[in-house]
Amino acid sequence: MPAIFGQILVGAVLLAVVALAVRSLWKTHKSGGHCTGNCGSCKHCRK
Amino acid sequence: MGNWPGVTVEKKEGRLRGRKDVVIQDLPGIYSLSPYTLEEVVARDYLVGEKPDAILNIVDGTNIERNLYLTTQLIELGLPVVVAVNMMDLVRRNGDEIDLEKLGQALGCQVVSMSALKGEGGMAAAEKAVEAAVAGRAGELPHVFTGSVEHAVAHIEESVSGMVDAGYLRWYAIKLFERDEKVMESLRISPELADHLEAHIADCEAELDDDAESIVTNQRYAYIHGVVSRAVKKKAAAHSLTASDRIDRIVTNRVLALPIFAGIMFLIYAIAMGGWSVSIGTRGTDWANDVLFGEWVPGLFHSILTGVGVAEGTWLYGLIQDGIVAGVGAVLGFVPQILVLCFLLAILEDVGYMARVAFIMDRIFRRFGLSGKSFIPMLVATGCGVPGIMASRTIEQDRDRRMTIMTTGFIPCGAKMPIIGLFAGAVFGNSPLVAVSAFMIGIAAVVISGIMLKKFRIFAGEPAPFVMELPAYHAPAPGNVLRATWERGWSFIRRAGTVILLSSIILWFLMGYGFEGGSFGAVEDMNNSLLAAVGSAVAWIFYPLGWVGENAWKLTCATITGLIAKEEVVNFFGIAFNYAGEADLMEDASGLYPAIAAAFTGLNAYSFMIFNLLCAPCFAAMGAIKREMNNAKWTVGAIGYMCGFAYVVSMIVYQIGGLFTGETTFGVFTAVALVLLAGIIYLLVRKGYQGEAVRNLRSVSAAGI
Repeated sequence: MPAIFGQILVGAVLLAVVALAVRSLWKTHKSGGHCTGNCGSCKHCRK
Repeated sequence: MGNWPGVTVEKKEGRLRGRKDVVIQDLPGIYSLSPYTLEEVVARDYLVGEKPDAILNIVDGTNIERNLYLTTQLIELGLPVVVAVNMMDLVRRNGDEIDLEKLGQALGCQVVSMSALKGEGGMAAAEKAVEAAVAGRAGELPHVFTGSVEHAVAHIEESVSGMVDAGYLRWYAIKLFERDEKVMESLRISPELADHLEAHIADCEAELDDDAESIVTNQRYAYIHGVVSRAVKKKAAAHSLTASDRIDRIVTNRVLALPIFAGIMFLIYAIAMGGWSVSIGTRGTDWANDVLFGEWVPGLFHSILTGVGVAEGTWLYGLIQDGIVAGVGAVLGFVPQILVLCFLLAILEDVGYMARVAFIMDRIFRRFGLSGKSFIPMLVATGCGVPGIMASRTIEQDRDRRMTIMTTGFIPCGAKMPIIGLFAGAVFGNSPLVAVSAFMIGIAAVVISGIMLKKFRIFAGEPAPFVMELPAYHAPAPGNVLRATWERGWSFIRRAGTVILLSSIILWFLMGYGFEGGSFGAVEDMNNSLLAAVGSAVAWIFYPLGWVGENAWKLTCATITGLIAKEEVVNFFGIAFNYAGEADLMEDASGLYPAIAAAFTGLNAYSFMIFNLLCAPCFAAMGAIKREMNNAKWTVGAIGYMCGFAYVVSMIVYQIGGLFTGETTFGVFTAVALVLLAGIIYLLVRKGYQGEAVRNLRSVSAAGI
């Protein structure tokens, strides 16, 4: 496999991992981040 | 987390297993429906405002007299109530008997037994509550009060009957009799009506020669005493002691309590983070650092990357190996130590010892104006500072609550453990004294701050009485311990996979790129990087703390990145020293420790560690401080105080400690450190504010609830 394809593949995987990490942080932030004591905005409390 | 009053500060919602239509609201643990603490207000606002279909009141069978106080108030709400007597396994083991039928008849509601620890009766109790909710019939009100009180309450009921829901009429009437300000405000009682009610209350008070609130409290306990004497048979004679009492005689002994607590904490930190042969946490971390993240993971990434054509020396290879693997790996390497520590602390919580520690601390805290209630947030903060800061809501006096918020962050949370572990392992030969001293310095910082701050008018005043049930000692439930360990450990791992991973990438860029030879690009010398430029510009601030030399900017930047999350400090060192080639993971599996050991002396390592343990917490905890203070000035003051205190303590340690180790000579900063030390001693011993104008404001009023 030419090196350029390998680099693109690794770059794409890395981007996907970064996107997942950002998404996870964003979702946590939207659901109140750490426990705020306000159960109305907490996804864990609404389970 | 223990579910004793003072820990849960908010309501939590769930659904009954197998009954998706049944919603259960878990309210904060409370002893009464009085309006003095935030958790009492949260609970009673829900019970009165949301009008639940039924109340399942779980009471401690080993201390039933204390718990029935709340039960009598709940029954007055006019809602269907089911009482579940918990800890029945302990009641039976003690040889006591509780006649549930008699108890139910006396209270006018259904009473069932359960043991949460053994997993017995919980579901049956919930089913009974569902049945009661479906029936929708409240029990008969018990005759708690004497004729004089009933007479006044009847008049009050008559006066406010059109103003409240008929079901709640008696509860409102009793609260008005007690002159409950919150209830009076909510009903918008007119001055004329207030005068009318006051006349009835005053008549009763004159007749019984006591104030209304005390009359109600005393008569409730008198009634409960009668109920308990009929329904509960205590096997043990009054003078005999249970096993728990015998243990407590030693564990909470005035002289022995603190040495025992220090000994237990030493043992725990030694097992989790020490260098003994039984220190399984350190052994796990050594393996994770040396083998897992030292050989296997970098080796695996090396094979994958070179296999697909990403050669060594390219930026992509460097980003993944020097940035992500080195940074995240440095943090994840401490997971074994954190899991062992959390596991041992969870055992202490579950057996009931931590409740005793709050009791022991009450004696110490009370001397400088705080109560043991302030220790509970600190206990919670050993896991994470955010819920610890939130747990301060249970403190009745606003000034004490604010002071607790300002000092809770001094206790080392889980995220600070990698910093302690790193320096203990790299510089201090895995001495358990380093970890336990970090914990003790946290407690000492709380005590010293408490004594100093209480000298000022804004914090002056007597603490509220601290009442807490000490649960009987029992074997830890494996499920509880493992769940608590997993929750804390998983939270740490999740942060490594998100915030630490992202910041590893940013740090790799900032440490690897900059201006060199007049142009921007990858730098040969990390001291020319963007981060070095920023760090060097502000590193002088920390020179008095011993953060000097070519690594000064690294220590400064590590501390600043620690504001994102405290694990970032270790992440930063992982990248910085790996990047510089000082700790090449591919060549020397355990390279980070020698690199750290070479960069620090024992004294400036300790100064750096102390500053990072005591200074401003992470952004999440700062957000919690802002929410709980609900005031910009107080928030800035709290964070400023923490940073200032951390700076002063670290400076004193380095400058004065250096005179003994020969690391410093007497100079301007040594003189400043001596003056600061003298200032602290003066604040500790000087007389506090003696005036009358102490700030007496309840937390409930300050929060505007």
